[in-house]
Amino acid sequence: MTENHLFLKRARQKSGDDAHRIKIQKAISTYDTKVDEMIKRQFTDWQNARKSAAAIKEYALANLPDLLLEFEEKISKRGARVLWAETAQQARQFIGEIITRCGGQKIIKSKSMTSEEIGLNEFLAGQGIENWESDLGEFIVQLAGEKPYHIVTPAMHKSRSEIADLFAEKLGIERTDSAEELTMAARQHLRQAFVTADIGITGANFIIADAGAIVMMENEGNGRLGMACPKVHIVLVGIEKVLPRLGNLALFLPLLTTSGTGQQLTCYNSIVRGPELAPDSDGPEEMFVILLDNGRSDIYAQDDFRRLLHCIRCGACLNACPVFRTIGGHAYGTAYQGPIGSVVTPQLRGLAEWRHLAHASTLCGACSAVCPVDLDLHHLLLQTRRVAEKNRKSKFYWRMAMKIWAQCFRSRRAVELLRPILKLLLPVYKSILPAAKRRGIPQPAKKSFAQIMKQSQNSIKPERTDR
Amino acid sequence: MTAKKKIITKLRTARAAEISLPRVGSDDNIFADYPRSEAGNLISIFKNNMKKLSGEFFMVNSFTEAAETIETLLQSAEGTKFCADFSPLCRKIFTAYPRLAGRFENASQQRLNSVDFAGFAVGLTSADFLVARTGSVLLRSLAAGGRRLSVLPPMHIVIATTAQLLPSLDEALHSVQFQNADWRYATIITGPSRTSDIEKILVLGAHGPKRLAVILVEGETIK
Ligand code: SF4
Repeated sequence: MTENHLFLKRARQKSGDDAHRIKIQKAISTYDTKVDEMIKRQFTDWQNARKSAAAIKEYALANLPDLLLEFEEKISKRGARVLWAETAQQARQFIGEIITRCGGQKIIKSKSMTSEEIGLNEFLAGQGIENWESDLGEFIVQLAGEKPYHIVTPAMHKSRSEIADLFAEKLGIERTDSAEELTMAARQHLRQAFVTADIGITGANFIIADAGAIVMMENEGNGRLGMACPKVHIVLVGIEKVLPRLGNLALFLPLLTTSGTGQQLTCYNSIVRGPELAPDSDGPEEMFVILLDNGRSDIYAQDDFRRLLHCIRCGACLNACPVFRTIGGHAYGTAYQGPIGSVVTPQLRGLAEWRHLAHASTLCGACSAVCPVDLDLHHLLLQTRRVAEKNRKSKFYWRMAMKIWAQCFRSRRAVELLRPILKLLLPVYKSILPAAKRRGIPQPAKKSFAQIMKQSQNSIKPERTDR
Repeated sequence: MTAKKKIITKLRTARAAEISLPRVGSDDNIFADYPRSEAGNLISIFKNNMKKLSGEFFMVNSFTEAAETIETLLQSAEGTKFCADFSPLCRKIFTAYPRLAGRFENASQQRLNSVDFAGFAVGLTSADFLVARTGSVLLRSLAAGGRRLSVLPPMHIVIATTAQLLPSLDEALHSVQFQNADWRYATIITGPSRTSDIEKILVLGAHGPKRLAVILVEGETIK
């Protein structure tokens, strides 16, 4: 089955799943209320803040190579090693080599969508390495043998009682429905992993050029533990995550948090500029930063898509998207879901196989309206369709049909002429079109809009559009 | 060609027109809740914001009082082993109240490993700054007993003086400490560790400290 077919199959199944819909609506409406309140409480002018953030990202991208080199130089001086990975395969290989070299047996991982992008968990499992997801949401999906459902809220699709069953089965604890007790069970279980792990792998939300730092935002403390306890700290981060100055965080931290979870700041925002080399300091002895390209420089090279790299992965566009809310995160079959995933995946993994995602949108623009870095996602979705169509060799009959359709619809008169014929054919559609069979076709009005206009207002001529 | 060269070359070939660094407003015009009032008010703003996040806040007038507050907090701790960063401020407090010092281990002893740190019921550290607008504590690892002391024990007690209290994040990130000093790890702590990953229900104490207490000393200086 092609990705397109798989997508349709999963989407069809989920959109009819009422229990799923209720869980997602509940989670997203809690989120919506918090975000609205936080925007009002915190920002003098939200639109202006978005524009400022977009301007900083635009500057960062315009100077991307220089800023990356500045980052590398500064963090290297403090003893971290920077590794450049052109592809996912290279990044995995780097991680494999580091593990072998330091003789690591056990890995503790913090939430990182970039690691999903390169299939790190599958790779580590293949190498027989013990690897624990430490973010609670990620831990839940790991235990369930699933993929993250949402880039910010990986276990959004799981109800409390489902998690209770899962923990009782996999962790051998007594079944409990209390969110607090479940969280404490995960805390206890992972404590052991934290204090004994050899390597901590984290993502990063930002790369800071002038400070030579990576920034990681989180609420639970698992990220901090992962960069404090093990002897080796590996950071996997996309090259687009650069901000020019440390001071930019004063805007970007509250901005991303507000859109991500509706908080003012996440509980912990850690800024790391290297391993701890001083004799009496504690923390990792070695730090590696893997800068991942994996298709980003190709996006960068296209003027029409470059701004896609502004994205700070807050997840707001997923929550706002009526399609995401209906079909859910797993339907996409990608590391990045929702509108951003539908634009970025065809770029990262090939238009031919993933173009269908760009059609999984109503183009309502809800995504663009909420994006904290002011990304016009619905235009990018449209642009993806356009480019995909251009590159595609469609069947002869389809091209002819489209040509005829285009000709007819260019002329008002042709439309008027066709109308009675189309009406006559109505019973035929009803019996052959799958969508019509499922949902039925509404009865057309007796008179067309054009006819009504003509009758009531002779002074306005609706048929003037013959061009 | 190395991967690095290939990536950089690709980016350079595609490079956009030059733009200069945009001028973005400072925190006082971006944020509606920027504290505009006097220092006395900063304290109450910080306190309110911390409380909203379920943090504990104590205002004291001397090192001795700070020590007494710490002692009370220790009574409610989950265990009997405690650890401190022995920073200058911490030492001042211990000097003013010697019987407290003996109850704390020194975090910068090399023999402590992660299991030891996890075994402490309380981590007592100093901080670089407190930020009123967000109710946050900023600390750098070198100045606050390393990376583990403030995250592994279930309770984190922070001591600071009023001179360290700033209105917003902007001022802290532009300070000499953050811009010029050679540090490797800093963290901005806003409330005790939390998660809402299960049905968006808030639970305190995910992997980090379940309790965060800030003791603000007024009218004393570290020097
Ligand atoms: S595109 Fe915008 S809204 Fe969507 S995840 Fe990225 S930053 Fe957030």
